Amino acid sequence: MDNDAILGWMLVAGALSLITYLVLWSRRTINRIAERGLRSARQIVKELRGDR
Amino acid sequence: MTDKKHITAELSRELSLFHITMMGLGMMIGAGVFIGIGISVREVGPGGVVLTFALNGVIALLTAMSFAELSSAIPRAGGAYNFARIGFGRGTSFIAGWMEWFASSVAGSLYAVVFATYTLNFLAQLGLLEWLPVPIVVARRIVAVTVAALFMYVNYRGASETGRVGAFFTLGQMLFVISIAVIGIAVAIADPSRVQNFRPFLPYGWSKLLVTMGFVYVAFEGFEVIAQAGDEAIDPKRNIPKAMLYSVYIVTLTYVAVSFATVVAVKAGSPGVDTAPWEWIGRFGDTGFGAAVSKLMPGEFVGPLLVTLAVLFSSTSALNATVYSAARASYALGRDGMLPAVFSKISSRRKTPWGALLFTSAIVLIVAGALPTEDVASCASMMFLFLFFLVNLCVIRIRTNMGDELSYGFVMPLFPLFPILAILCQAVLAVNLHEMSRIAWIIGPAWVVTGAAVYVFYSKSHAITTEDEIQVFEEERAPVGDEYRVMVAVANPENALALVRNTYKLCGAKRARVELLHMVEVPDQVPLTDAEEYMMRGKEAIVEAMLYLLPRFPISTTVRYCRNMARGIVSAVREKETDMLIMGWHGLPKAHEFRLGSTIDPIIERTPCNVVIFKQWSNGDFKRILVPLAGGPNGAFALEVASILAEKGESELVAFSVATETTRFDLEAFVREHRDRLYVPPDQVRAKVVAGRNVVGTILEEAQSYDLIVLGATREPLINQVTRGSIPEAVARACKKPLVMVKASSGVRSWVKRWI
Repeated sequence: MDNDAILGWMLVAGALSLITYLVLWSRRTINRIAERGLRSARQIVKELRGDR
Repeated sequence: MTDKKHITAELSRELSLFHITMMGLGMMIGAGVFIGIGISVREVGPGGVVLTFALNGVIALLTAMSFAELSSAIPRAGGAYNFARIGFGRGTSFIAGWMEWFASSVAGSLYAVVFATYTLNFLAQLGLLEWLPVPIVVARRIVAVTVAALFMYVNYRGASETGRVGAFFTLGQMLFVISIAVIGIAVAIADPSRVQNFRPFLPYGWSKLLVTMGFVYVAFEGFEVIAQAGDEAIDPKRNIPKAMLYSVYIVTLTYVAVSFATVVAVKAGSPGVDTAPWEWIGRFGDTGFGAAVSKLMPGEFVGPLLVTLAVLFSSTSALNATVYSAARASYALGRDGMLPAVFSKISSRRKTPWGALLFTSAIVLIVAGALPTEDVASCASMMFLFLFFLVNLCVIRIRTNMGDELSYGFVMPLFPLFPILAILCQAVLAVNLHEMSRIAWIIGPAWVVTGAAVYVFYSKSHAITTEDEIQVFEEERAPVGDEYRVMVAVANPENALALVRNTYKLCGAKRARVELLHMVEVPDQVPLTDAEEYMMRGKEAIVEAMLYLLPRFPISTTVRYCRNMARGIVSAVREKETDMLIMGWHGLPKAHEFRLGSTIDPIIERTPCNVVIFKQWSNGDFKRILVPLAGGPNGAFALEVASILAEKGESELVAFSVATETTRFDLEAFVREHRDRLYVPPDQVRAKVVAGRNVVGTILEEAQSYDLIVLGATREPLINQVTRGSIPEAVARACKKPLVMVKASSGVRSWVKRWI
């Protein structure tokens, strides 16, 4: 397998992993915002930071 | 007295997360992927086509996150047009609507062209086109125009773009595409030699990848229509952002799998395949997908028939929806007075916007009839790249300016990194599209420039003012000059005079022209037409303040009403090109997420000028003034303001600093450095350094024996303030003495805030 192919398949895997992570993160965030009744962006960012 | 009772009509909320996700998928799996795969294989090779869809999926998801955030906060129908109106105002929203109209129309043309291409290709395979009196290229144009015209008529008759039934059709369409992906992967597992079809992976190098990514970007268009279901979706704040993200995620996985399946579908050396499989697929161009996938199906005609049916079904449903969407976009522009009234004409019989449909038809038919497939697809991709570019700007602007007043159902992480990344990627893709189609690079920008001209010469003067816009209620202007401009925002009529008395020293020192502003905040539930009663008290306060200042300074007065106090004041500061904003602060914040208050925090963060905020002010003279300092432009401005408020030769002005175990600030050097800014003799300022562990506590203790505290606001980034808190704001909250908090205009940053 040439270098282009190795890098190419790694990029495909990386891209799919990234979008999977982002979608799962977003899903969890949407649920958390709804469950806690958060409203403004400032309030949400503060709460989410506090969870870490 | 009449009691006004409002009866509100609402659509019943019946569309679940499944339904609205299917709506997005149905729009996306239209034609882009079917023509995009063959052309991409030809342009960038077998590995490049898989990479094209995988990387485009990332860019599309970043933009979908922007749409998800905006749609969760502004769940009204209208999409990009609406976001741009709220984020940037009328001119930009016109351009957004103008681009959306053209992008959807050209996408409709593309679907009509794909319909014609696959239909005639299949009939030619059956040998049924030998009687044709015209070349097949001409026949394609005729069929494309005919099918487009047919769907224009269907829309005129009153077709809806989606619904619960539509979800099941989309499901069938999805099952077909997923089946191809599964069969392709199974074939590759059963016959691993087919994986060799990916050699060479990128025969023409990496740079070609950007060209194909831009070209097939139209295949990721469609998720944005989910926002239109805001009135019918169950739990829209939660489900609409989810549906947008899920639909982009599902199509990305599907496209990657289908492009993989297309490449492995052709076995090297099989009958009819006289060259490398990827070259064989590429030779078919826009029908390469169908040619390759037919080889996965049994029989000579069954495969092509199934593929053709799937493509026809997908392209017609997408054509119907895009025509609907394009007509809606131009109708909205006509309704708001930004295009001539004919665009907003509704058929009395069909109840459909016939004027908007007529002009949309003209675009769809001309593009479908005149341009080659690749140019049509490139045009559609380019317009969506422009449109999504704008939406990514909107999400930054709206979160920054209105993040405190909107109710969000989703906020993206690492803000504003993702929208900035999406903007950069989309710009790169748009630039590289010229290699695929020079015509697209002429038509796309020409359409935008034409839109700008239409706006300047027609829309600007004809647009209907909406309730969203802050309106000037009454305005009395002083002659405009080059002098320093001070705006005094009078919020509470009871304190107006006291605030103005304290500000006249500042106005006098700066020889300022004074702008007295009273923002009248009207609740969302009250129409602005009924806002007069909120205005009257403010008007009295303005008159009182004006009488006090009139003999001393040139004065302008304005009473405006708005939906949000902070946004209204920031907007007025920008519009009047104010140099200094002065306002009062009542004390503690009501909501815990604010450091000083829901009005003060955004004003300190966003105003592009000097800000001076008075807390617990009195009418007396200040004999002892404390200025806690830790450096920076806000500290220097605090020193300057304190020297203005001090009585020359009488007041004691103390520059104060707390030395902790870890930090020590050279206070005397700082005062020396800024003595040119002082309005009192330098020897009237005394430097005092006190050792202490708790900076806030030490300042508060020292403040006990002073008449006034003047503090510079923190300049730490918002992230640090949220996580660690900020000393000036903590002092301001706890201090019981009269206090003035100041923020200095920050040069280039303020300039950027004002103009961009």
